[in-house]
Parts: sequence; C-alpha cells; structure tokens
Amino acid sequence: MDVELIIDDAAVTAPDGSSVLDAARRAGVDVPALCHHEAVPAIASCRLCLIEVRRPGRDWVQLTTSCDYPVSAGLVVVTDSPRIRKHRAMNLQLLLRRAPGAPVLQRLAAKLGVTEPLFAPVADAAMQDCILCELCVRVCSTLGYNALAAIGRGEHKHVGPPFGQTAAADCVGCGSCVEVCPTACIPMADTTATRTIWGRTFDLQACERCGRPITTKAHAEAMAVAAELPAKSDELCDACKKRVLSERLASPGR
Amino acid sequence: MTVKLADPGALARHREALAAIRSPERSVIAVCVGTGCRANGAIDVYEALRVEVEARGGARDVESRATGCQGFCQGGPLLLLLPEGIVYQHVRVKDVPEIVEKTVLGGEIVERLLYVDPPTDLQCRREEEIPFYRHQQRTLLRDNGLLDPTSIDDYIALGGYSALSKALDMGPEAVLEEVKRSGLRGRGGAGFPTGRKWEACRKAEGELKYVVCNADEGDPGAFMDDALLEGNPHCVLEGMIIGALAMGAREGHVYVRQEYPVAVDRITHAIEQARELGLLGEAILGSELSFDLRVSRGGGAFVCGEASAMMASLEGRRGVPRRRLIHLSDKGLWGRPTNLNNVETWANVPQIVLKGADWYSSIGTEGSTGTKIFSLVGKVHNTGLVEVPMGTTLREIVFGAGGGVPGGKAFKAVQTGGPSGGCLPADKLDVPVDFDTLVAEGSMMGSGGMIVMDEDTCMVDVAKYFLRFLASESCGNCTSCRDGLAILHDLLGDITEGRGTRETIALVEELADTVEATSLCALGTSAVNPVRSTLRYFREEYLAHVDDKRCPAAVCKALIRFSIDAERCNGCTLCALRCPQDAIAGVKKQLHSIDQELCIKCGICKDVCNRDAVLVR
Amino acid sequence: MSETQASEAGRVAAVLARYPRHDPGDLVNILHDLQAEFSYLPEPALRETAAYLGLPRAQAYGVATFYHGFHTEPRGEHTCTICMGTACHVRGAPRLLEQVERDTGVAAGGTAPDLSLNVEEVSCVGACAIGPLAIVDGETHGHMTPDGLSRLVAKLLKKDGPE
Repeated sequence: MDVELIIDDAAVTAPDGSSVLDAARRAGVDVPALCHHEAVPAIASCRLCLIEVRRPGRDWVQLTTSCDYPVSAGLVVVTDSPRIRKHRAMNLQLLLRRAPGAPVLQRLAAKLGVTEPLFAPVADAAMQDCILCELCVRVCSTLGYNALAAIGRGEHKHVGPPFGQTAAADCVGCGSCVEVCPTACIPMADTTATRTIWGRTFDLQACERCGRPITTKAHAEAMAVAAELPAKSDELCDACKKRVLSERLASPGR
Repeated sequence: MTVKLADPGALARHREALAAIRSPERSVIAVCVGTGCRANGAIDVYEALRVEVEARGGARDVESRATGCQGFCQGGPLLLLLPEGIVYQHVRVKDVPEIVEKTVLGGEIVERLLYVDPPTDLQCRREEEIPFYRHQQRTLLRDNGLLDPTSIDDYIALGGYSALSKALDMGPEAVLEEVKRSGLRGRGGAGFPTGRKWEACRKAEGELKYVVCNADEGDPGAFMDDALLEGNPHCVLEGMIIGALAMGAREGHVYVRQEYPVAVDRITHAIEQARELGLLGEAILGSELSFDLRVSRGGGAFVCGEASAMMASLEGRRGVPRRRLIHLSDKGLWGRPTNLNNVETWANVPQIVLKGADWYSSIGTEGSTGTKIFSLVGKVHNTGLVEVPMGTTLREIVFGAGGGVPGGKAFKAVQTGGPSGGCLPADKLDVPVDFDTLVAEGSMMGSGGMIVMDEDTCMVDVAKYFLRFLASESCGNCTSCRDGLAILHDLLGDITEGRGTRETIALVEELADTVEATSLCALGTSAVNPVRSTLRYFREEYLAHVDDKRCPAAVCKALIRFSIDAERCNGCTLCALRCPQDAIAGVKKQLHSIDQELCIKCGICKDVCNRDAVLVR
Repeated sequence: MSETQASEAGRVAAVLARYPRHDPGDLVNILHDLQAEFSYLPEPALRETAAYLGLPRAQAYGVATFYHGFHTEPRGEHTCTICMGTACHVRGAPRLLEQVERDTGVAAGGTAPDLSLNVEEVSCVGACAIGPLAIVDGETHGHMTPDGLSRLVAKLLKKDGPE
C-alpha cells in the first residue's frame, strides 16, 4: 500500500513501511547515507542522512536520521536546512578523521563547503579508512556466511573475522563486502585464477565459454548448496548466459 | 518441604502464625552486611556477634540478623538494636562481647559506639535522633534494617505480599488506575509516568507480554538499587508480580549488572522462595495469574541500562540501542509488548496498592509524587543512602542529612543525574529537588546519584572524567557519539594539560551541539550535559585553564607544582624515602626540596608528610 | 582430540547443560558461567556455545567482545581493581590507578605478560563511603592511598615471585 507524504514541499508517494531516505531518493533528492544498503537492515551509523520531520497534527520539528525513519501518511519532510548542513558537516568531519582520503567523503566535503579538516587523522585504528558502518558485517550476515563480526565497542570497535583469525574461516570470497564498502577499505586482490581477501586465497571459477572469472569456486558451491542444486563446474558468466540464451532463441528449427 | 499458599487467606494465616512466634519484645541485633559495610569488615562483626549471642544469650529470645544496606554507610559497620532502635556505628569485632554483655543482656549503652552529632556534640542513641535519619522519610528503606533479605518469612511478617493479596482482589484495571493516580514516575532517570507506561503495555496487542526490572544501575556513585535488591528483594518482586497482574504479563526478567554479585544472589534466592510458596508460577495464590521470573546478568556495559539495549542483551545480541518509533510497550523484547521499569519504581508499587494513590500523592510535589532515594557520596560527611520526599531542597539533603562538607572545606557543587546530568553550584542549593526543577537548572534527577564536590575539585576535570566514562561506554554505533565523545575528551585533555585556548572551548561547544542533536540514544544526547553545565556555571574555571594556564582547585597536574614549605618541614626524610621518582633531595633534619623536572605529581609526598608541609599550587 | 581438549569440552558441555532451552537469550548468562569455569572465554568454548544456541560464531564473538566483563584472552592469577566511580574519582581514585600502572607496568584492562596480575578499573561497586578503594583478589580495601596500594600490590606479587 502506498502513502503520500511531503518532501521539500512536493507531494511524494512511497510504499508504506519504506524509509524516508528511499522515498526521498526515489523522488530525486540526494540525501547522503554511507552506511545504508537496501538489502540489509539500517543501523543509522554514519549520521549523515539527516532530515527534519514534522508528524501530521504536531507542531514541532525533529532533526533525525532518514534511513531508519518509516514513511507515513501526512509526514512533512525537509531534506536541507542550515541546521541539517551544520550537523552533517560536523559528522562528516568526524568521518574524515577516520578516512581522510576516501573519495565519497571528499565529494561530500566539496558539496558542503568543508575545506579544512577539524581533526587530525585518527591514530592506531584497526583498519585504515574504515568508518565502522558495518555494511560488510551486515551484508555477510544477510548472505548467510557470517564470516565477519563487529568486535569491541566505542571508538575501538572494529570489524573483521572473529577470534582474531588472520584468515577468515567462514569467508567464501564472494567480494560482496568490497562491493558495498563506502570507503573501499577492504583489500581484495584478484589474479586471473585466484582471489585474496581477508587473509584467504581462493580459486576463481572461470566462465566455461569466455574464460573470464565469475566468482570464487567456494562461493559458487555455497550458492549451489543454498539453492539446493548440484554444484556445477560448467558455469557461465552472466554475459555468456545471455549470449547462449539469445543464440538459442535466434536459431532456426527451435 | 514447603507447602504452596493456596490463596490469600492461607497467606494471611501464615503471617499470623509468624507473628505468634515472633514476640515484638524480642531482641534483634541487625548487622548491616550491605556491600559498603561488607567491604568494611561487617561479615566478621556479624559472625562474632552470632557466636557470642549463641554462647551467652542463645537460650533467650535474642536474634542476630544480617541485613542489607541500611543506608548510613558512613557509620559502618553498623548495628541496629531492636526493638529499642539503638544505633551503634563503627563496630569492630573486639566490641562485640561488650555489646552483648552490656547492651543486649544488661540494657546499658556503650557510649563510645554512639553517633555524635558534630555541631552539637550530642550523643544520639536512636535512629530518629541522628540527623542523617531525621531528615529522611524512609518509606522504602526502613525495612532494610528490619529484615534478613534471605528470609521470605521476615518479609511476610512485616506485611509483605499483603499488597499482592489486595491487588488480586482489586483486579487488573483497578490496580492500574491506582498506579496511574498515584503519579508515580520512573525512578531510573527519565521520570516517565509509570501508570501511563503500564497502560500502554496492557492495551498492546499480543498474548505473551513481558515485564522487566532494570537493575543495571550504571551511574557511577549510585547504589540505591543495589541496596534495595540486596536488602529487600521481595518488595521488588511483589511490585513486579502486581505489575504482571495489571498488564497481563506472563514472564519477566530481572536484569542485574554483573558488578553486583550479592544482588544477583539475593534476588535469585528470593525468586526461588517465592516460587516455593506459590507466589510465583502457575495460579498465584489460587488466582488466575500465572507469572514467573528469570534473572539475567549484564556483561559490563553502561549502555545496557538503556531499555532497548537491555533487550538486545537479553536476546543474546550486542547491547546496541535501537530507535524507538514503535514503543517497547508494543514491540519490545523478542518483538513482544514489554514493560521495563527501574528497581526503585517496582519497589514503590506494593505501598501504592496497599496505602492507596491518595496517600502516595500526598507525599512529594504535584509533578513528582512520592519519595526518592538518593545516593549521597563524595565530599560529604554522611556518605550513604538518603530517602526524602520529592521537593526536598538540595541544601537539606547535603547539609541536613549529609552533614555538609568535611575538613572545613567549602562546598563547590553537587552533581546529579550521573553521566547524563549536570553540576549545580552553591547558589542552587535551595532548589527543591524534583524531576522538572532539576531539568530547568540544566541538570536532571537521573537514577539518584548525588556527588558532592568541594573547593578541591576541579570542574573541568570532572567534565573530562564524565566524557572519558561515556566515551568508553559508547556502543559505537553512531559517528557523533562514538567519535564525538572521544574527541571531546581529548579537547578537555588539552584544556587540563595547558594546551587549550578559547578556540578549544568554542570547538567543544560546537561539537557538543552535534553530539547532542544527532545521536540515536540518550547516552549520546545527554553525554554533553556535564560539560555544558560546568561551562554554564563554572566558566571562569575553564578560562583560568586556557587563559592563565592555571587550575584554581590545584588538581590538573600539568598546571600545578609541588613544593615544600620551609616553615613546616622538619627534615624527617619520609617524603624522600617514599618518592617513587627519587625527586626529593635533602639532608636529615634540614629543609627538603622537590626537583620539578623529576616530579610526576603523584601526591605520595603529601600523603605521607606528618607536618602538612607539602604545598600544591 | 587430545585429553585436555576432551576434558575442556566436557566442562563446556556441563555448563551448557544448565541451559536446556537452547535459548539465544541465555548467551550472556552462559558466558558468565564459562568465564567462571575457565577464568576467561577460550575460543572452543565460544564456538561450542554458538553451535548450542544456533547462533553464528561471529555473533557470539561480537557479544563476548562487546562487554567489558568478558575476556577472550587468558587472565592473570591476581586481580587488582580500582574503583573509578564518580565519588571515588573526586576522592583521588585516578592516583591509585596511576600508582599501580606505574608499579607494575600493566595498564587498566590489561594483564601482566607473565600472567601474574590483571589490572582493572570498574565504575562503582556501591561502597562509596570508604572510597577511594581497591579490590585485590576479591578483598576490598577502603580509604586507599597510592602509597598503601603500592605496598599491597608488592606484597601480593612477592608472595608468588621468585625467591
């Protein structure tokens, strides 16, 4: 069911229960949110996706995060204001301290007019450029591998394989964590035949048809098991699957 | 084998039977073995007493009883002799034979063990003569001195569980109405109207509902809940059972911080006893109410005092709070309707049911009814637990019950509300304490911790202390709290170590704004209160640190120096011998001197000097 | 599996058996019991607990490391805990912590390399009247001074030290 709400004076329709962040983005408003991914639960960690909301029938306005705020009928949302920019800029300064060179933070800094860092880069962080958004942990957990943990708390919180493993025992090398990491701080090295990530080296599965690597063999096996299919060794990459399918459709005497 | 009490009538008969064998004239020597006194050797005193009584008066009607915290911690180890109500303080094992001989058997007073009121030098024999007790209204704490917390019979004999009988008779709606009308507000810190919270849970959809007791008591310096759980666990239980009745809850948890092992033992034992008698479990006292409780321990995290973080902990997850757009009374523990209340809140419930909302709301102020237990600690004579009606002034608490600041030092501030609260200066001493007045002054009641500070306390150091605590307790979810508090602590470190400027203060204020405005939970949003309130009331102290590089209270090491007073030093060499850095030079019987290059300002020389010859400026 | 491993596994199983519901909500209580058994939380115990409760190992480890009451590394024989609650703070508790850190080289939260001593800080144990205080091997010592603490710790370590 859809509900109607106001975002920046414009009426917007969004599915009931979706987040104001998603509704705003779908309406074309660019609200920054580094720790957000539609496939995993929101934890509102980065504190950048600030909005101001007023509930219908109330007269007070609340400054709050939008990734974990559900839409509801009659909600009035403002995505830009001096107050939003001031606090977004300060939280950005805190993030810059952890990931001074990260392109996404640099771009946001330019947009907000943040030219000088307020704080010296953090010393002795467990993982350089990590902003502790836990996207890697949440994605790995959602996919069912649970190879990564959020460890410790407070400013010494960090992410990584549990038990201090230098090689992540439950990792299958799918690389999803790398894909979602906002600051690209997870090292992953691919050769034509192998992938090294989280201290492990995996064999890559090559496409039978074109020879390009698809994913790791461990990942392919895990997916096959999850789909309750026998593990196939004659895998095709997505591009080749499409080509084979279109060839079959186009061939005469089908 | 204990027989379950089949109905309220059976409970009443059990109580009568206990009264019949417990003569009101019998002598009871109540020894406080609460955590504070226990740490001071009270167990040995109790054991000695028990042995002595058995050897001498065992045949007579004399009972030695180990009680929970009686609240007068300054006088510990503490003895209360009933029925006379005589209080002996600072009791040692060697005093025990004399106490038994002279007082218990002979009816005479051992004068040197009496409390002496400093201003008047009057000896006080009985509790009600001692100013510490006289300034209190001990509705909740009184029974702590009267019962053995490991005995359910003691509790029942004092009238315990009669509120439950009455509640079962009244029915859930009437009980809820009574709690609503009483005006009871949550004692954990937020002060939310309890009746409204209960009603929301009662109305929530769902067959399985939970009640939870928040015994995480993380505010450092606050130990009211510990005293209640250690000293009178059944009154908390009774409150929870009545709550379960009113809200339709079937299961409950008592979440106790792991730093309170005695409290864990007491409440666990109390639950077992209650179950045995049929006061917990199926068909309580023969009624339709079925309710049972489990005890869960915390793992050591202040943030788990926050309701949603506590529930995460109870679900086997990291104690990370979640935002509450849906109330926990609708979707709390395991996604089910849950009512969470603080220990002291639950403890108030039996009396509200028994004596009625009109009685309860006649105590305190209009907006904050009832009494509140405060943990009065720090630079104060009478450190301990003080229970007063809401609306009592800070002055009456600190100087009346507390006896003021020791050592002739000047009062400087009182910190209320724990790490979420603020520091109030001397000109606020006449503020009547209730939920709303303290907020208006820039602090809050919090759970009841009240830390007294004097002229030797540096308020910048205090703000830094709270930031260190909160930064280490942050769950780490929010950038603003996790990193903001760490940086605020660093900035305050700059100020206390002589590197601060006016710009540092400006940055502190700016960053504090964002931490408060954009953190998800109350740990973050209220973390700025200590620094904000000290900047508000003690700004000149901050300015001394940044403008003059001076610490007026002579606390901040980088800004003070230790030296030896030529007038007082007698050259005894004690300081030089004890100095860990070998920084003190001097010949025997001649003036000693401290090498500033080597001195690390540890303060040992000042501690050991018998001539008070070490100057700190 | 070696004999030690087998006996350790047996001790873990005995603890888990006290919680027959396999309820994830029992995780923290179980960790307390395991730590009482082993003085810290060994990795095999955590793995076994996770399996027993049907939880990912990463979650069990994440929970164990979140709470300051749990230790995932072997602990020292003796423990010196300084209360750093507010009341003790204004009465000079930081000096006590500095003293023991200076004397032993072990920072708060740490363990001596030879596993002789743990140094800890705790925020309020509810004995504020006798603060500042140190708890040494479970025994509380009130009205502590840096000098007194120094001697107490020296005595504690000397009695196990080399002759």
